[in-house]
Amino acid sequence: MRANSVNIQQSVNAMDLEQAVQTTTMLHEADIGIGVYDQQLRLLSSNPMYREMRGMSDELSVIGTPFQKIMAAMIISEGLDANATEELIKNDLERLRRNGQDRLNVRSAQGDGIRLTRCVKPSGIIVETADRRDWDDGAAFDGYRGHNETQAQSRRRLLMAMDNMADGFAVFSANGTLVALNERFRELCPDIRTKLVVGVTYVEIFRAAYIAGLIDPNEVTEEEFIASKMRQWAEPEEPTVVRQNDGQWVRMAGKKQDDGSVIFIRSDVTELTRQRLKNEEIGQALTLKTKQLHHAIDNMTAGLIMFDKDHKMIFGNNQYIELFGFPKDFVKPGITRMELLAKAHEMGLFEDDSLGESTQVFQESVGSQTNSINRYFLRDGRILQVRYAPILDVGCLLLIHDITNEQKAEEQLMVNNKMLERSNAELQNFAYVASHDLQEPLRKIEAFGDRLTRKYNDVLPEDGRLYLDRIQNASGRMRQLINDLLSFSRVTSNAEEFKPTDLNIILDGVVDDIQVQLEETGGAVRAIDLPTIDADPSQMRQLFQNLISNSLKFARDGTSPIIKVSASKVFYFDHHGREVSRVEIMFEDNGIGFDNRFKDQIFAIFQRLHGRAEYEGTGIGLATCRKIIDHHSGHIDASGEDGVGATFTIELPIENLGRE
Amino acid sequence: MNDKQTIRILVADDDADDRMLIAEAFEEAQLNNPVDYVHDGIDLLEFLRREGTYENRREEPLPGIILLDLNMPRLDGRGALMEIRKDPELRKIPVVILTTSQSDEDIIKSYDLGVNSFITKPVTFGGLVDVIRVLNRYWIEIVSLPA
Repeated sequence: MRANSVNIQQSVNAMDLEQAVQTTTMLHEADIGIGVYDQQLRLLSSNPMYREMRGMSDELSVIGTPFQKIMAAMIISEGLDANATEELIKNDLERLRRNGQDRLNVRSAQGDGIRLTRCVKPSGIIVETADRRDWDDGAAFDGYRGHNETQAQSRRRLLMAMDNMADGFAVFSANGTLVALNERFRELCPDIRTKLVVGVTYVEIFRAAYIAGLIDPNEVTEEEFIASKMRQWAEPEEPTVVRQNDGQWVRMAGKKQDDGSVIFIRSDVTELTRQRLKNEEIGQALTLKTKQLHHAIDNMTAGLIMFDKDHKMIFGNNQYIELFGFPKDFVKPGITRMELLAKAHEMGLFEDDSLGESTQVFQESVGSQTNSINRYFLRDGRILQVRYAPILDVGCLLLIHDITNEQKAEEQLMVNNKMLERSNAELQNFAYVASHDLQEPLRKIEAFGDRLTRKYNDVLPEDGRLYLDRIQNASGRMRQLINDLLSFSRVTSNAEEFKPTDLNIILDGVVDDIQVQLEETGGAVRAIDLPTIDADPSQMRQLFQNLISNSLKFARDGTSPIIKVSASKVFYFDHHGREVSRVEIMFEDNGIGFDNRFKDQIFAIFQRLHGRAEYEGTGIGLATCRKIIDHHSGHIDASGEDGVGATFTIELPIENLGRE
Repeated sequence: MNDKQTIRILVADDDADDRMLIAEAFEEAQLNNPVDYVHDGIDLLEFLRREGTYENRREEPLPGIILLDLNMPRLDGRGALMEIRKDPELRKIPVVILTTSQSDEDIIKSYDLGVNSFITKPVTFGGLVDVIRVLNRYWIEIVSLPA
């Protein structure tokens, strides 16, 4: 033991004395424990902190005490028997020798968590340090358990817990001196962290904060800032929330104790504040939207009222009140639909006193989950349309429109339509009746003209015969006109049911009729195979006949009229998206043609492009064609070139049920 | 058998022009049988039944054939035809419809009511003369009529 003392003395001699004193003092006052053992594991040196942490009695503190004994003292107080203790220590040391270093978490005699770090130095000396700093709650004790806590132990534990609290706290004495704080408090004041030590004053802290630039000096002077902090000191319960330079939101609130001391709690409220700001933003947007909605609802032309599931009013707009003329204070939230209805009857709003009827309507719509529309006929002549719309989990909405004018307009429209229909029918009828009845006097004119010619032609003077001739010419034209007009009006009045019609047969029939005329002019009708379509056969015949006659009539002088008839199928989609096939038939001639400017005019009734002296005709033939095509839901078009020829293109449905 | 030349013809037509044209057509066709004219259905029945203004004709024989217009005032051709066919005295007289109508409905209805022929008035005078010639040839010269 003496020899060891000499060894230490020798090493001390080797050092500069002053440095040795400093080192010793430093070791003595260090807040980590240091114990040094020689190769035989005997205690060479220890500082007070080490002994405190190790809980070493004076006996154990003597230089030369075996490490095992110091260890055992700690372990025996854990309650292990001697053999188990010996085993544990043996394992510990073997591990240390094997690894050259080792680290253990143990609990001190006072119950504190202590980390022991051992290291085997190259000289064989073992240094063990003990510290509290790297202790964390989650770490397991390495085989050592704490024992019953003393009051001191629990106070330490409390402080430790406070260091790990989410909130920072600082305790100031009544005169404003910082007496205690936890680590969290420091963390939450990152800019003045170093100033936060026990002993500084409340005012010093905030001056430091001001100087650290936490406050914009352009907004608040230092004195104003300190004054505001002093107000908080006076009333610490009033919390302040500030945004720090690092973007964190921090809330500080205090609690004045009976003895005048103040505990400040500083909390990170960044997330909360962000959420609150977001909520405020949403709230503001919602308020704006609600305002807009209310504005819109109150400015609607329709009356609107909403009821809850018990048919109690939630809200109604001004128009609702005005439409029914309810007293303003009568319509208020909570009033029921039935009460409103009864009031309307009491006010004599309805045309008949059919409360029962409207009650029934009401009953039917109660709880109905389908939209419905009802009409109220008011005594003052107005018609209100009530649209009922259920709202899931809320109740229902009623929208009330004054449709008096719409209704009147609709009725007027129906009347107009009927008049139009009648007028159309009359017109149709007129064409038929007129042409029919005109035949009668015409027949007389022709007959008596004929008599006059036969009996008195010889005795009539030259000009008398001329007059008679002109009368007979005119009546002949009139006959033609009447006949054409009759066939024109018969397109609809004598319409037959549509049936499958082979257009080849139709064309053959027409060509047969004009065979003589074709032979005289050297003309020909050349046709390719035509389809069979649903149509009125007699009308198809008239259509073909009119078109071909037209081409023959407008043949070029000195040119044999050639009429080419061709057909093709066209496909397209109707407005239901169904594919529909139609047939397109072209009649091409080599006649005098016409200027395309007139292509639409030629289908109008009584419309002629040429003088009567050049070409005979009534101007009804092509109009009849178009009428037939219209009657078959088809389309007719013409194109021509002066002096070259004309082409008539008709397009007809292949399957056709005809018009109603 | 009657002397063909004495068979009386009765024309019922409300249109004076048509009566005149028919008369001229008879002339043109060189038909010399006696012809009487009445203006409507009532007139026709009174003539046949020798009533009213025709009371003085008690001794005159009934016509051998009637040319009847369909559309006439008071009682039209159809109504008159019905009366004639109901009357046992008159029903045996052949009736030829001579009308401007071409409608299928009129044709069918007329035959249903028991007409012997249905002729649409020709448009021209020449046509009318042809019709009269044929009527004469058939109903007066060929057909045996009841006494």
